[in-house]
Amino acid sequence: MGGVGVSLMLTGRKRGAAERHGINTMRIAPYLFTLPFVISFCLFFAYPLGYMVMMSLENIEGISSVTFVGMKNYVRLFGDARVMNAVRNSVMFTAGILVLNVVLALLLAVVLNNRQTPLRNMFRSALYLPALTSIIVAGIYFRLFFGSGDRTPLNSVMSFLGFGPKAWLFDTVYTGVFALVITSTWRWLGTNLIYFLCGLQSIPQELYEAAEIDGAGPLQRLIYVTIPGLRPMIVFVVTVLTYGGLRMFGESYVLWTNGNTPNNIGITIVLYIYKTAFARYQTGYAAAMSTLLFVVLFFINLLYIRFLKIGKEG
Amino acid sequence: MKRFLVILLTVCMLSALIPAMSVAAEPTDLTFWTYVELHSEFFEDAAARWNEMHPDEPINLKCESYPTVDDMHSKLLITLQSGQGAPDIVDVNVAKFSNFVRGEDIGFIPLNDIIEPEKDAFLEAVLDIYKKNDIYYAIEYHVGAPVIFYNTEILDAAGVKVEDLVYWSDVAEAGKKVLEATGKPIITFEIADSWCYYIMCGEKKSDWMDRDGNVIMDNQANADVLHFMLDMIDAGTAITTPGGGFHTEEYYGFMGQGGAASMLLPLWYMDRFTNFMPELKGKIQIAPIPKWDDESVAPVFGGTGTCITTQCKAQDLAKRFLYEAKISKTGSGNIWTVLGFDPLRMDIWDDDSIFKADNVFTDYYGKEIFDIITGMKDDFYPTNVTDPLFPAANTLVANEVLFKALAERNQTPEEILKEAADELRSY
Repeated sequence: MGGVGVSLMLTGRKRGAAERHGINTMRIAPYLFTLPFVISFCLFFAYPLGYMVMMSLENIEGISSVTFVGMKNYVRLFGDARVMNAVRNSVMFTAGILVLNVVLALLLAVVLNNRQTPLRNMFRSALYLPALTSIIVAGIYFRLFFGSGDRTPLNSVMSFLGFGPKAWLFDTVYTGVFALVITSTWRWLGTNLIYFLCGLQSIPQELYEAAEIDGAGPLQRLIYVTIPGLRPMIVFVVTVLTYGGLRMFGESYVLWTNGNTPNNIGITIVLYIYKTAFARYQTGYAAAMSTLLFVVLFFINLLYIRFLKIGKEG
Repeated sequence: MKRFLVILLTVCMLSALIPAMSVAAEPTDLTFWTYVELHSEFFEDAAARWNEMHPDEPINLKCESYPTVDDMHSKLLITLQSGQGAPDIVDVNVAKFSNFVRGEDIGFIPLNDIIEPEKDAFLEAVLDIYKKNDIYYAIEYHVGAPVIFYNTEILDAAGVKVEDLVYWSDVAEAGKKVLEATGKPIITFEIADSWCYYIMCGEKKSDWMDRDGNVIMDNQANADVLHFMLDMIDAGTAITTPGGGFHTEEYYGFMGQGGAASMLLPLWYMDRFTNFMPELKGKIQIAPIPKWDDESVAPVFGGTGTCITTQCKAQDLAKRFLYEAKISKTGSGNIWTVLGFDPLRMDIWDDDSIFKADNVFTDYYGKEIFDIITGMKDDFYPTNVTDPLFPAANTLVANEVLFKALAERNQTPEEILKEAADELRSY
């Protein structure tokens, strides 16, 4: 496309002059168009990535005291119990947001897509509103929501239901991850809902009419028409949520002040990397963890592309 | 001819302006980073005074206050490592200081020429926290004298007098009376921050590392403190802090509503009460920390040192400004007046015109606050807070040790401390 555009822009006389000087505009145009991306990719992705890999082989103290330690940081990584905690929490969190953000968002999208639903535009806006809220603001609110006092919002509900108050953020890994999943879902449900609404509106109405004529009920229409029709959107949402879940940082950092999660009950992979680099000041070790996380995410995305046939027709 | 006269007149008028313009010197830009909003106010006040006193050398101080300690220090580390973007003047938290002075290439300039001439007037134990190889790299704001804040309304309801709470055993016993009379705990202990526990261990002259850098976190003194805390929690006379630490909205709300009768931190916590718990005005009494026995000391470890980075282009000016802001008698006095901190400069401690003057703190706590600090000065004992391993040790205590020992309770204090100490030894 780019080559065609350029050749159309050039006048015949100019093109002739360029070709006389040995420049094949048709051939170089694609490179020219992709050059801004390539430059920014090299500057802001490839270079930092290479630098990170190099740092992962070093022990860095202070601001410039560097010692080459080879694979020592990677060896240490496999014996670090906190890495396993962080991986476990991140996987549990990702599973939690996948279930809630796909199932709940899908059901809500079906309901809000129905013209008979009253005030549906208001609900759409209201559900999307949290996505516009800063994680800092949301995190502070949810920190108080999950507070341990007996008069905090969630504990008031617990008392109403006949249960005792709970220190949600200072209890077990399950309550910690639960708080993270709820905070994240509150924020991102509306966005996923919009994706599914877009997907629903692209499913031809004739398919529903045909299914109805064939005697399909609402549940069957959902299973046999809606979900297959939404498959590309579901794949997209699942991919984004998996990637976002495994690299989650903000919720954990804010829900526990400065990410100080007690006994790591709310620590995630990226939070642990951050704490290692900027609380324990072990930058080399943090770089080793980042490198490994990059490799893992890279392969997970490759698997998605391969098995979910992303980018392939039909 | 007319045109010539007009031009001549204009040139004369412009030339008359030149001397006037040269009088107003161009201000030098200086940037200051901090993680405590109040410190910005202190330095803005100091800059205004500097500009009044030095009209020939004005400064334009740009203060940037970061919301969290970690946020500012991570940015500082990156700017120092990358060689650009660092501020001229910066506050460095004492628990993070050691990391910035590791290795040979240090990102801060020596401050010996502004500190040494005044050294005798200062509390050397805290001054030396920021010294490496005989070079001072920072100047502290305050002594950080450890004190206990009592809610007298709760104590009065139980018939307990602050003056009777001399030893920790007194506090434990009084806690039973408070619990019985009010149903409230006498004290709260942190589980997601370390300073309360660090002070209680420091009273026994214990630490996480000794002066030679050996890890001593798992010594019996530190374990005994955890056992004492556990006993009080089991008796219902103490609870762990709602929100995990003393600096959370949840905790301010809890204490503001009279949730517990006391909490323990250095004197700099005063402004948290005045700012976030104004409803307790007149009900909070500051007292020296309870002792374990007559050998107990009062551990002091400052809190925040101010440094000048090597990236500062006007280092000499920045040093002279820092001297006037924090080291001079006027500057040290303002550390009390503006910030409510116990200044390091001891030769002004008996100046009632500073320490008994009306300000937001004397208004909240009464005029005798500083008498408590002067009464404690013989017990001040320096800690090893700038050991290279301290940032890692402190993170371990704040994130794991206290929660495991006081909340989870699946292991004994000895086992938990041993595990943490072994990890530190492996670094």
